[in-house]
Amino acid sequence: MSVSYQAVGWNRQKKIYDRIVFGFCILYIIIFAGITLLVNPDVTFETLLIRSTSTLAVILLTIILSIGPLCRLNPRFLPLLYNRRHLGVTMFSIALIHGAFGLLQFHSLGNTNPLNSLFTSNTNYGSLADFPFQALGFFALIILALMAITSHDFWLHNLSPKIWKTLHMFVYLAYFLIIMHVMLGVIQYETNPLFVLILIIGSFTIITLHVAAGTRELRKDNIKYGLEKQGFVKVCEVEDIRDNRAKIFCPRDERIAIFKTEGRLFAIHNVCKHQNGPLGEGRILDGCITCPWHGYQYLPKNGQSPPPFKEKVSTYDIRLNGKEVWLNPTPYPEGTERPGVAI
Amino acid sequence: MIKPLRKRHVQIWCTLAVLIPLGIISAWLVVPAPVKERLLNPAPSRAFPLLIKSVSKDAYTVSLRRMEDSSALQLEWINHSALTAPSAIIYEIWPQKGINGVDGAALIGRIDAQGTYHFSLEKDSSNIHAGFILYDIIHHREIDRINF
Repeated sequence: MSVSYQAVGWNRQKKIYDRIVFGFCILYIIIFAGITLLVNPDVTFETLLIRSTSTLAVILLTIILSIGPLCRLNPRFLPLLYNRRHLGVTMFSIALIHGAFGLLQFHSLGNTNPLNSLFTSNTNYGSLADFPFQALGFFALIILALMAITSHDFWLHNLSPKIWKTLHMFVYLAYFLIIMHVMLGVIQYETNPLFVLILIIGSFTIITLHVAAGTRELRKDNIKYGLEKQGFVKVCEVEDIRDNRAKIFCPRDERIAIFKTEGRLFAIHNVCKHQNGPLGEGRILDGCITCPWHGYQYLPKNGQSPPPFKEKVSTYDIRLNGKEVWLNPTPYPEGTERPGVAI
Repeated sequence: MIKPLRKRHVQIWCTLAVLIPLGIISAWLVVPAPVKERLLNPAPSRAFPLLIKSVSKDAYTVSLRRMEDSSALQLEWINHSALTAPSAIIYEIWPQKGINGVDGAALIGRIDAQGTYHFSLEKDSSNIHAGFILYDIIHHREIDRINF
């Protein structure tokens, strides 16, 4: 969390993360170049760069798209999520190098403007075999560019989380465009089946992870809570919740996290104001509920971020009936103080 | 993530689970078979000993070669410098048979950088290997025509 905007709010974890990403990219390009030069010593620098950056960008995008569902399926992957935006910007930069050199190599040697040439040199849009695949890559790059430009929290706050999230969900369209860009492009004349295999394995993995995580989450949303008295529903036993942790319930439309801390139970809305992170999967640190995604914090008693921060979420009433925890799913206005319930 | 967003994610990925395999399979089905088969065959690495004919141009020298016992023919393509079209394909044409363009021509192989390329040719007893077309597969245009 930060009260003012900085280009990058560096900390130790981000530095380690970025060093690993940078090291991986350099190592990949060196290994790719080494193997290519061994197999085909006559390859040009431009071709080498276009190919190495294209494969690296696809691999990074596959990793990026896998992080979200992996974290839903296993919280041990959460450290990958923390700085995913840097990984995304890195991937875009590499894709941009690929796009720029592709444009230079394939479209800059004629007397037509390279961008014009990109769209007019092949206009077989009605043919799958001869489809102008480079246009697909271009539009994917535009989406990735918009995402990279707006990846900073400044844009998240100024565009509103709804618009920002909608814009960033276009990455799925970009991914599909990239798959088709590769399949209708290099695969049409590439001899090595490794490219197709990598693409198929990558896309199969991503689809499986997303569908598995998504259906699991929907199942959680659809759990029925039978007992209801005076607007309260029975959700669990006190022992089911660990100290300084929470359990998440969805008795009505939205998920609610019930935290146990300092001998009391508190209920707040499960969705972090920053990027919709699951607050109930975080823990209490320094007396504050801490979002597991990017560390945004809220006080358990009123759902407000500690001053000078201004984020706040809804709170809820809880009752105890012996060891049974009963929750009223009607939210109080965001930031309303509730006493919780003593255990 | 809020509930409608979770639902939208599942809907998007269920759609992609259909679209992506469909796209991959469709694109795979239209891969030109001759290109795949031809390029998967390893090209002979050495020049055949006997030179039959040769044509020299600024950017490349193209030669027809054969084995001493005439058991096999070979096209040798020496690129002196990188082509301006990065991925070019060589087609063999037979004007005598009325095959003057890439339609009906035999695909020989691909060249894309400076260097020497060797391609096996079908053994042709009538010895009418009359010409070759260098074709830009990205822009779908003929780059050059080599006539022996």
